[in-house]
Amino acid sequence: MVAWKPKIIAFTCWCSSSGVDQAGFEGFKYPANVLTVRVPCSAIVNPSIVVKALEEGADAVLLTACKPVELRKIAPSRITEARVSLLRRLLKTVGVEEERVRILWISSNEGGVFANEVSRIVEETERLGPLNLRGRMLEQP
Amino acid sequence: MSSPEIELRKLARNLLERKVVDLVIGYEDSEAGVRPCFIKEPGEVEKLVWNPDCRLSLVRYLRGFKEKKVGIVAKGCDGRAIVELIKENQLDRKNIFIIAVECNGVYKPVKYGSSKTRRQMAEYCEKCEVRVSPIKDYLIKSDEKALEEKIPKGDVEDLDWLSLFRKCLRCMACVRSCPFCYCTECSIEGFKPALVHRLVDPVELFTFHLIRAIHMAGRCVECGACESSCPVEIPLTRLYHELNEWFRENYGYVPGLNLEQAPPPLVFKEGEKP
Repeated sequence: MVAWKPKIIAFTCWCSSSGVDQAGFEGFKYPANVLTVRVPCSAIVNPSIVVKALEEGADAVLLTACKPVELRKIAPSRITEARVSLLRRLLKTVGVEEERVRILWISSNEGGVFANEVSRIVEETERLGPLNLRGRMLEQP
Repeated sequence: MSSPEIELRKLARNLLERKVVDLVIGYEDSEAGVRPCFIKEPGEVEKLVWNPDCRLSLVRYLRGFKEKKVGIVAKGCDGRAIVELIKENQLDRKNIFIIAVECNGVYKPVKYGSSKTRRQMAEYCEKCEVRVSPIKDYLIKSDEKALEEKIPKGDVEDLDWLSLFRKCLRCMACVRSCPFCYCTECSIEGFKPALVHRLVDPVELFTFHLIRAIHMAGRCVECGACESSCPVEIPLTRLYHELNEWFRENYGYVPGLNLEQAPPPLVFKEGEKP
């Protein structure tokens, strides 16, 4: 039997996706079960999409965003942070581990940071076990 | 007949005769219980009733009469819903005459076929601190005491939400009855690619309820319209209350109390705590 591996979706914003590229250029290794989806800005990620990703079989969803201190205008990263905080509260209420939705601050030159953090998150998700939402919804009480 | 009811009828007759309002939205009695009614003639005001069965939120109908001047019978939560909708530019304060009625809590709906002898107060009414609408044109006071019969308290953590969502029939009664679900293009129903399909895939019920909860966060006034219209009795108000608590903790914002206080997402400032 093939050992279970967590599936992690990472929504990376424009800047932090070049950080992800940087990890490749510099030769950092990070687990292959992280799928990155490049989005124009982290604040464009609708919480509905995150919920849908969990429903469709992702074991954890990761949002990487620019550091709020590095932004010029009213920080969209703050909006993302607030949304993630709200979403975590909601998941906790309905009985799903809140650690399954996370936010990471990655700048475009931080390839190493991304690789380290992602490896840590994959390990933690492995400890949490599979989300198995389908199974949990289908089981009869 | 209770005295708020007499006062309500007198006021409605007065308003309609003087042409202050074009119509009054209120409650009337029917065989199946209390239902909403739309009164256009002064002669019809005798239909109006007021009792603890008036749990339906009438705010839902206000958006259908945008050009008319409408009088509405509003409980505390209905008044809060009107405040929130005015903030969201959905209603015009000039066109609404709010007849605020002091509310002492409403009954939980009776399930079809069960005996009507013991009536319990709805759960969301126990948490409610707003008995009178925050904005009003006329106040009808009620001398009755709060309802006695209460439900024993349970914590949100005690509920197994996933199995409750599993019961959902996807009838959209919660969406149809909610005063805040006014989007013409609903992200749950009409959006393409669809997030939630009409086919019965139980996992999508999770998405459906979570998306709805996210959309209600910081707006829900806990009027209980969704909960009381739900055929499988999912205590949705508890879920939305939990998210409102998040808003209260982080921003000190309670929806529907103040017409001047803007909703937190609109006044987001840099350096603010998320």
